[in-house]
Amino acid sequence: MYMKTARFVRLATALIDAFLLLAGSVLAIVLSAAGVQTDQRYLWSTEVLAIIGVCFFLLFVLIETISAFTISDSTWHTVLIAISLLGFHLTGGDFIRIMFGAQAGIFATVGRILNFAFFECVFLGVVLFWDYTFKLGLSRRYFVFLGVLFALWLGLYAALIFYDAEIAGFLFAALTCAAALVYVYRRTALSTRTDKTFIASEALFFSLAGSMLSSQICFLQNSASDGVTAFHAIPVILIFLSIYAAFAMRTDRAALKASEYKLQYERIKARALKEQIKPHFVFNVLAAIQSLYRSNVDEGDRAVTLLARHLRTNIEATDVDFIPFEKELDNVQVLVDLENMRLGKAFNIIYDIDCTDFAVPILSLQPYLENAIKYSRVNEKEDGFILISTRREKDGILLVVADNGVGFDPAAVSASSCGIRNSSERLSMLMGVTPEIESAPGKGTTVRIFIKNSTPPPSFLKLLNKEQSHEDHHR
Amino acid sequence: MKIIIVDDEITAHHTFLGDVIGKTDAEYRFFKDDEQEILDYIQKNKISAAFLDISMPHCNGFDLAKKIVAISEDIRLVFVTGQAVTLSELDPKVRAQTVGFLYKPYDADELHAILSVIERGVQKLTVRMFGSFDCFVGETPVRFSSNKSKELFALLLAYNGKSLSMTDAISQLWPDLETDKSKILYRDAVWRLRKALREVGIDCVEFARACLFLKKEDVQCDYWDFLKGLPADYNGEFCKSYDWSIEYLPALDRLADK
Repeated sequence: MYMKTARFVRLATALIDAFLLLAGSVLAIVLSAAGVQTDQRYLWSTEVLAIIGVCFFLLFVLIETISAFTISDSTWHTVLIAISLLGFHLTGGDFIRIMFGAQAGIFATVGRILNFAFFECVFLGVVLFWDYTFKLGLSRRYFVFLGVLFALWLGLYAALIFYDAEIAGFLFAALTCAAALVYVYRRTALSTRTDKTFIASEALFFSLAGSMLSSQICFLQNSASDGVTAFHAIPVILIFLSIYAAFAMRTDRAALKASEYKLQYERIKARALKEQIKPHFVFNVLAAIQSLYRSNVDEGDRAVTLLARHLRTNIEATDVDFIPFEKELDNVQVLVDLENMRLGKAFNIIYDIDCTDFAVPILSLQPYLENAIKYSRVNEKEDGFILISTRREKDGILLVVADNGVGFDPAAVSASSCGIRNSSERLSMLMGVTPEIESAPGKGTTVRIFIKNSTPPPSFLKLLNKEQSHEDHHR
Repeated sequence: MKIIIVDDEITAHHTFLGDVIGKTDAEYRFFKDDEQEILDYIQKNKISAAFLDISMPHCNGFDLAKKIVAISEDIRLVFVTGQAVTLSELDPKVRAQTVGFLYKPYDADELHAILSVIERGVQKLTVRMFGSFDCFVGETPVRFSSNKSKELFALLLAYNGKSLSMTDAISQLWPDLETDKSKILYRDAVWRLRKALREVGIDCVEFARACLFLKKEDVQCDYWDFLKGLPADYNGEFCKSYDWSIEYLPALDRLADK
């Protein structure tokens, strides 16, 4: 489904690019054709446009440079693009005319060569920017190759300019760009990431190329390419402004959403912790330890260790969000051991563990176990058990907590315990997972939690002892 | 072996620690958190290990550790703490000399395990298969959380280095159960065996999918010694109470007669 949308977006982008190329050329041809007729009114307006364009690009260079130093999102790639665009405009026919008059002579020629060089720089900058933003992983060789080719075309362009045949140099450069673009397109198709900046920077390049192409075609016989660069500045400036606007809006919205989300999560978690520390449980265990010490000191020692581990987990939970599954299982075992010690009749836990290489919200498994211990009465049954199993499936991991105890009627027990409600809230918030609870009187209870692959947790969450859990993996 | 224990509240657990350490042949001495006194003592004496509390009013365990490793590169460190700490939080030099963490309140078994690491370096697993089956690390018996996981380990040891497949294990341990059920119980036993060995810090079993391998280096087993012709007290009993062990008896008896 997603792939389809991505392909559609990419097709639409290509069509828009082609349209921009065409529109850029047509606009440039029409306007500069008007310009060739040396209409004074028109010339005046192109000069104003050219100056406004240069001012904007100066501003963009400034903004990009500052943000490259302050915001990590923005980098020297965009600085390079902005500088190249500024150069492109300073060396465009319109600005040259402002500077040196209609008969600029050698300056006009040098300007055209530099203009072409900056055009190539813009393209290189855009590709560098894509490579960085979409993590295309283009090799250094790719850029060296492009750079060498562009240098060659620049030489060809400069050499041919005196024969008024520089279009050959331009055509080769255009072909190189097209080939490079096809290559990049294929890479982005793989990364399935298409977003506004990609489309916008593409549009920027294509409108630029369109106006260049038309100026080359129109002025084969005429050295002045009036109005082309000036008018071309309009879409480029608009693109830059829209990128800034989109960026500002996106960060604002994202930040707002994240902070709301975080607040809600903190509330749920605080409640979980409050519910988890059950004073009566702790005092009951302490009482059990008290009597254990009277009969067997070693057993008493062991019980103290268990209680300490249990409390430590609960305290740790205050500054940890996720925990490696294996650790959560250890915590569960401590809880069961404590209950077994206290109740006398032991619960039989069966671990059918296929994989442990995933993390869960801390204390998210315990409530299901507590429930089973409290209500299933499997410890009174001859072959009673509580089964914890994990199974790796094609698109995720299935985690099951099941018992063959007395079960209950889910309709009669509304929303079951607070602990379970809280755990499912956190599971669904942090991992997009909804536990399914299936139970019927006399048939036992089964809780199924399916953890889909690739559900990256929000970045503000902390995982407990990452390296410790990895070092333990023998498989 | 000399050990020092640094804690600001010595009286509180003097008895417990003394009791446990007293059972080994280690000499121990308590210190309050007086940094200079501790460092002087370490300079003048050859100390095997220092147990350091982390949060003390007059000095911090981590800082003290840095100063200790600067004096001696042989001394082993154990951090005693109430809260969870990981190796990665430590200074690299300190980390290299740290053998473990002890959480308060102390667990006698963990303390024994750490003491035996300090004393002997690498921990070895001692296995007794003649008579009834039992495993020890130092003096401490390994605690298996289920009988079947213990039996599974015994079977793996009886295989004497050969890999033990799931089918083999099931046919010997759960001969009468239907396949699905026995597979679940097998996996449960494997999981518990893993936990039991990890608890004592012995890494001698490789857990592959549907198969177990034993790494024999860190294990000392009376049955293996006996097979090699080394002295072992075989008295006609081998892994008593495990059904499959009977098959091993004729061969053992023949060997004993020689």
